[in-house]
Amino acid sequence: MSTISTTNFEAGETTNRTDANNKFSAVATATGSINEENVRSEGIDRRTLTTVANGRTEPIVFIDYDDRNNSAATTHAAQTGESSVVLSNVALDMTSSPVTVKAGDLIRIHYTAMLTSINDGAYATFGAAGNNGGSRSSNPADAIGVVFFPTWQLSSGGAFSALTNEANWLSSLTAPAGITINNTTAKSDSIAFCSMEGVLDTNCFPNRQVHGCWNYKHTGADITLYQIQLNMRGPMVYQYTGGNRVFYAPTWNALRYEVTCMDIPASPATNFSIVVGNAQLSLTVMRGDS
Amino acid sequence: MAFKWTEGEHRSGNILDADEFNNSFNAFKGEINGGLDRENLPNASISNDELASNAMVKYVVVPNIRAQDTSVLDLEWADTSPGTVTQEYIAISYNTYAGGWKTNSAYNIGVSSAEIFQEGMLHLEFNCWYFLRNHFANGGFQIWCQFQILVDGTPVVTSDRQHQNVGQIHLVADVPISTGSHSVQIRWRITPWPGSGAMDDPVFYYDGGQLTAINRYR
Repeated sequence: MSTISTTNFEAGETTNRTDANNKFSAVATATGSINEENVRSEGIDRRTLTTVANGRTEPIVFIDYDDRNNSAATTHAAQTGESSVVLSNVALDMTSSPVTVKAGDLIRIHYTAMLTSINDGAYATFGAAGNNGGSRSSNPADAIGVVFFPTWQLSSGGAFSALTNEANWLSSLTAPAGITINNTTAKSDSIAFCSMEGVLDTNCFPNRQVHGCWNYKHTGADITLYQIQLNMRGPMVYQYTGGNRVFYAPTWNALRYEVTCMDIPASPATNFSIVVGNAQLSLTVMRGDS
Repeated sequence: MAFKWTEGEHRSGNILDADEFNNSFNAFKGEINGGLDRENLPNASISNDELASNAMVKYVVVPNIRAQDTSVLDLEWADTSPGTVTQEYIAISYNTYAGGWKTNSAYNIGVSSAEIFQEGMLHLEFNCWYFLRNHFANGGFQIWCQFQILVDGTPVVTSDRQHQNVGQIHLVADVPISTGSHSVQIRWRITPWPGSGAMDDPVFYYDGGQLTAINRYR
């Protein structure tokens, strides 16, 4: 509180120096701690704010991005969804000047990734193309796709870890098994789920870009961001298993994916070679506790 | 607009009465008590240290948005045995969806509880993944899904129709906003039942949704 609450002198009142001094002391107190109670609504404009190089950026306290073009495309062989891979040449390294995130700050991670191809020239989400006649001709599409997700490093030189309250998309599985998602501490908000449907040739070419993002208002003690990287795992299947919503890593070319049913991947393969093209990753931290 | 204090000084030899003192002092007091503005404050005098953390923006993030009114439903694939292989999904079916836009009643901004915005711009983002049982192999069951962000019930951004079996929705809009309560909601629709296919099959689901509003004050 820095407003002045002194009262007027009344007519006929005997003034004394103590009363007068008190009023000016109140002024001194108030002007020593000017705050929003003293300033008129919309009383501050651009010229009142200090100038900074490259213009003012409040409330942004950090912003950076990295990207890779298609010349940096990576091929990830023998993928089954049981484990994840790191996408190279697209990462944010703040190690030299780590970013401290305070309670109330808004963390915004945005990324894009291009799924270029998978080495299954007969791939279709309802069964291998050309192998779906007869009773299989009306098979429905399954929820198969590739998962992209960001992870961060919260200590210098430490391991990368799952984002706050997100499922641990880095965890390794032994098929058939899955990553359970829930509404509290194992969310899927940060992922981008990319369809593998595409043009069929010697391979299947989705050439599909997805945009994922994760916005999070930080609570609790400060955290320090050292690095952020972009990861990929798949194919995985969204389904309901064991009473949970699960991103499943099935045994490919077995059960509903075996050659007599959907034939994914086309027999005799049991895994996928996945090509990821260009990608972009950005981080913005905005200060505030609104 | 506030002016710099211009009341005259009390002069030596004047007889000071209460009104004269009160007038001069209250003018000063009025400026201090909420009248300061750019006329009083020097140019370039406010740096980051003086700015309150929420002085320029307000953030609202609604995480974990997912489809409502879902059920555990079976999907079947025929094989050459002949036989079928079954898998369960959490999803909606045409038993409960008859077409048209469906607003997510459980996740929103400013509907379940009032949210006061300030005059300025409102940056909106919605992101989620979806599963769509998009077609039969014979091509006779092609459907699509679509999403919108609503501000006070009016669409401000609409996705294209999505036809893939799974995918990612990313909607962004920036709209001017007035001071007061406003609502931000998301809604979706898919193709109505096309007249073939089991009505109790899982057909659509979305999850991993986040609705973010960043209100930058004028």
